[in-house]
Amino acid sequence: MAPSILPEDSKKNFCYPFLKDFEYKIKTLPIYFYVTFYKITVEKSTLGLIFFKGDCSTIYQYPVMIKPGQVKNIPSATMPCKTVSQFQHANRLSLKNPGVEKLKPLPIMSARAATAQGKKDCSHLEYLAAIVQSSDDAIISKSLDGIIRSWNEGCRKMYGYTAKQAIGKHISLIIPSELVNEEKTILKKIRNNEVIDHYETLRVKKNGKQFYVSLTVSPIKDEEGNITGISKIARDISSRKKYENELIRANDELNFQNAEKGKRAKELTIANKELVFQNNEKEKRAKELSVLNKELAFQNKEKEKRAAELVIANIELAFQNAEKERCAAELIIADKELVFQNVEKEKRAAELSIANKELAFQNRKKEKRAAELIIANKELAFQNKEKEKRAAELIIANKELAFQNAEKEKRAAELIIANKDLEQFAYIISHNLRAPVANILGASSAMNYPGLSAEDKAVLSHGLTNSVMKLDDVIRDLNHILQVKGKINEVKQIVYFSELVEDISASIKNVVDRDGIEIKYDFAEIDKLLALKSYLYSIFYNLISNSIKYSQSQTPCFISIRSQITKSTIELTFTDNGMGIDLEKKGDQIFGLYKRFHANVEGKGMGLFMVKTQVEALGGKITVKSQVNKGTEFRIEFVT
Amino acid sequence: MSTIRNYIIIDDDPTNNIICNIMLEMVLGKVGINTFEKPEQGLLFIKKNYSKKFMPAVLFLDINMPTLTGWEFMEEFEKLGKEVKEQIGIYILSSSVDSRDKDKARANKHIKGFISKPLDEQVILSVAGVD
Repeated sequence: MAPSILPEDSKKNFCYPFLKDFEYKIKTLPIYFYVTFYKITVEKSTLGLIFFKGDCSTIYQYPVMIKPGQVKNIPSATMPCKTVSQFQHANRLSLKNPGVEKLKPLPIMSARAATAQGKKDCSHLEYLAAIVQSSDDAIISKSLDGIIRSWNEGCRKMYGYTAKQAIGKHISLIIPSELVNEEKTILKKIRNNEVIDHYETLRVKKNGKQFYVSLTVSPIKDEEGNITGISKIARDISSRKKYENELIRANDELNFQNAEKGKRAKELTIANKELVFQNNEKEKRAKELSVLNKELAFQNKEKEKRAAELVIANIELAFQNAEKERCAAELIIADKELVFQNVEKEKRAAELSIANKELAFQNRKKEKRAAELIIANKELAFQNKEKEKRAAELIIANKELAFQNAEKEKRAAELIIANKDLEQFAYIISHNLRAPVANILGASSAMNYPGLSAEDKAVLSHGLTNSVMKLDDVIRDLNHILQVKGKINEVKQIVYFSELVEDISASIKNVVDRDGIEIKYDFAEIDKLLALKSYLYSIFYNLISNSIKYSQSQTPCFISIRSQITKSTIELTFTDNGMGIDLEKKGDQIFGLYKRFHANVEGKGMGLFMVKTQVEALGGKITVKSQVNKGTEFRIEFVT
Repeated sequence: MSTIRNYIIIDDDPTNNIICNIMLEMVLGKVGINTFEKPEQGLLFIKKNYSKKFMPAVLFLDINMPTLTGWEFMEEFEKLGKEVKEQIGIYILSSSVDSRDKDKARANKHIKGFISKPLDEQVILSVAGVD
């Protein structure tokens, strides 16, 4: 069995089974192969497409079904097919969007190796020549100096020359004159054993028309490997170039438009920034305008109000205008006067300007003063507070003073009364002392008259004795009164009112029993007083005996004595149902010395005087209420 | 002017009244003397006897009396008829030596004079109008 011509790594290729199947055919080809794999996906079926490419530029295709699908009737025979699209066309495949994936080219076997293994076979060359002759590509072979040796049917179709016309001519026949140098470069590369694959260039037809071709140039070697000629495979790519050029033009157009758009974009960026700035400005303005609008609205209202007022004012104005016209005439005269006065005023203005400067200077002075005054005011405010405090203290002090003044006035009033009492006392004393003295003088003087009857002498003698005794009485009374006034410092003791009344009642028991006198007392509230007992006894005795002495002759005498206590006083009230005193007439004299109000009742006019003197000596006060023929009430008040 | 023969004495002091009676008779001889210890009675007497007939008289009036003082008496006297007041010449006869009493007497137009007790011959002669 012949060894496999497939390289070891081709086993990994997904097409390997099919290559294996095709191996025998490859073996028959005495040329070097490149195998190119294409993976085509058509309607969910995957096709493998294998291209073999030999140096005679004939491409063999071998489609294989890799994954079974809907695509059927794929011909498995090998047939010459240049492109994928030709393959599609040849196999009548309407392929919409076929997925074509070009896989890695795979070198399969060198021509030399194939030759070494195979036998020389002439029929093989004939077969090859048939292939070349039928190829659509223009295939030329030429000598190293550029003379055309072979010219296939593809050449005739492409260039327009027949084989007869081309063979033996220099290759420059189909090369545009400006590209002659290019041919030299290709030759140079071939001599260096290089292959030129898919070189795109211009060629010229028999009719002089130039067109684009894709050249594949390979050296032709003999069995020893010497380069004996050159093979050239050309393919017409005019239509593709046309598209390319259009694309280039379209691209240029696009680039130009892109550049324009870039410029525009920059301009737009600037314009946008400007716009943003203007928008901000507008917003600011809008806010300001909003405020202004409100203000305007307010002013409009004001204006409407004003307008209404103006209508009224206009009417008034119209009237005034009429008046003014009348006045205008007068004003013309007044104007002349005014012109004169203006001159005067300008003079005045100059004077005022000087005065203003003076004023400005004075104002500055005043400001200084104001600052000083502020400080002074603060000081004053502080002093005012102090004064208010003082005022409050003074108010208290004033109240105290007012109270003391009231006390002093009371004292003064008391002193005035005491003084009057004293005066009265002195008057009474002088009168009552002098009365008996005057009688003694008178009687003794009359006694000396000759011819006085014995009877008259006896009367005068009796008067004399009476007067002397009266004088003695008055002197004794005086002594008694002065004793009361001087006895104040005697020792005080607790005196019980009830005891006093009982003692006095007992001492006048005979009179009380005889006249049916009733003495009642009520000392439930208070029954005692710290006092001089002799005084209090004298007061009670005099008041009780007075009541008895001046009782009404028809009514039995009734005496009521009562005590009361208050916060600061002890009061004693003596009430009787006696004759009473006409206080309107005699009120001011009732407590006077030697004052008597009832001529038919015995008495010296000493009793109430003594009562008052003693009450006052004990620090008390006595007052009286009385009604004639109803009774009398004495009220004594001691301050405790 | 003839000597006044009618005398009225109003004083609560009986001793004084006795002395006055004796002195008037001793100096003037037999004259008409009416003495009252209670001034109210004296006032009644004057109203009763001096309203209709013309009978000039001198009235000696004391000040300090219990029921009606000399001054109170004068108030009542004021109310009497003009002819009564013209007939009676009033003299205050008081033991008082107080100047205030004398001032008060001088101020009253119906009081002719103020005499300090006792009544003596000189005064009686002057009052009676004896030259």
